[in-house]
Amino acid sequence: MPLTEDTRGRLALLARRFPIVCHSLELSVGSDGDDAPGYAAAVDRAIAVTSAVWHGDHLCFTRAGDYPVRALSPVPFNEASIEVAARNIRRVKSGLAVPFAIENITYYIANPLSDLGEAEFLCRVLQEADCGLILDLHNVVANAHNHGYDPVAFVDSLPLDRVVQIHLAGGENEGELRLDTHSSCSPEDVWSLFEHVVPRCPVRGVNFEMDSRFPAFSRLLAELSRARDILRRHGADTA
Amino acid sequence: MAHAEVLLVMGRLQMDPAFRRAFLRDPTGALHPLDLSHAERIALVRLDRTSVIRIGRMADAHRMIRIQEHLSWVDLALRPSLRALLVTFLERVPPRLLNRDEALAFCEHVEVTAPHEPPYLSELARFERLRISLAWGQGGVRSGGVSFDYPLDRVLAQLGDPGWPVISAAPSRVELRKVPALPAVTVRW
Repeated sequence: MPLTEDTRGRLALLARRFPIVCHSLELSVGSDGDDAPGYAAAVDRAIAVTSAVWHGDHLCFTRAGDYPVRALSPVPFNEASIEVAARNIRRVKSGLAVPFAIENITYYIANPLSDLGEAEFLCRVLQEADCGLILDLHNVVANAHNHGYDPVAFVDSLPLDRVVQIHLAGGENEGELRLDTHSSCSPEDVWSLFEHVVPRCPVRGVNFEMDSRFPAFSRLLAELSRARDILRRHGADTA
Repeated sequence: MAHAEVLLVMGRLQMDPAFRRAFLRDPTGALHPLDLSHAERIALVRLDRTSVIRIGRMADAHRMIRIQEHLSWVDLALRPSLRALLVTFLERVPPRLLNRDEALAFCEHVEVTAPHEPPYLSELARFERLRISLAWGQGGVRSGGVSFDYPLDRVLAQLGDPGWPVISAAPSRVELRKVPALPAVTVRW
């Protein structure tokens, strides 16, 4: 993630107008090794340039030792993964000038080496690493559908007091599978989970993840307004 | 150590098409050289084949989307003949950190391995590599003029249509200028 002079200038300009949080893809807290030297230092620089209030990455691996995977990949839900992730998250935390939070990801393959449930695994990592949670509700809904569990029971079993940010997104279906493609507005089951979660956690930020097939700008504003209404109804600051 | 090896298996099943093929053909044989415990080996052999195929297909498609972000003409619907180049790219070139790095790596791959048809493909890839590098301040590329053996302006103008435009060799020259403070270049033929 090289920060060129151009990039630095644009980030600094944005930071003068808006509060910013940083979100990275490649800290790979789920694995050891380093195939992208300088990445963590670049994250530090981005946080400094933007005066970010917290930083987030994903509970997953994007490299295996020195092998570059470059995709958010699930670790098996087991004790060995908890030990590695908690250790790496603690290391990342100690090197950052701002609080660190991890995000739940989507996954499309069940690992036979998992001997814990996803929720229990996530709880254990959060507890042992003592970090914040970026709760991606579309990821919850997609995983619940694809792996056959109840999304409400899932979020209710999490330590919601650790949630610092909620991600809203939409995806697409491929046959029976729900994909987290960030290519549509949030579907109703994501909004309904948002309604359920907001009064139960100290939301400090909501992020709309959209990478392609952007709707009309008026629709984006309507999504923003809907989220603000829900937050306001439950007493959150919606600035 | 074995945990790291488990992650390596899962990572390669996504990103390494040759390993994926070997695993789907003979999981036990594909895992044989790896430093896995007996239990891990047994468990990984049980991975659902349909899911393995799916995560591999998704990873391949994801890499292509990352390339297309910078090279819109890399479109298999418009140019199915690119499939062979993409397949060798996925097999030989590990995934890069950033989307633009992935696009640059694809350009380099095309420059080296481009087939004879269309004859300007290698030059097109060189032009795109220079454009992206200059836009993002990479590779020490500086604003200036570049010469080609084909009229790439005419090629680029027709890449929205299906297939490859039929264009004969004719010298051309382009002036690429970095746009200050933006990841962009101006292009003047």
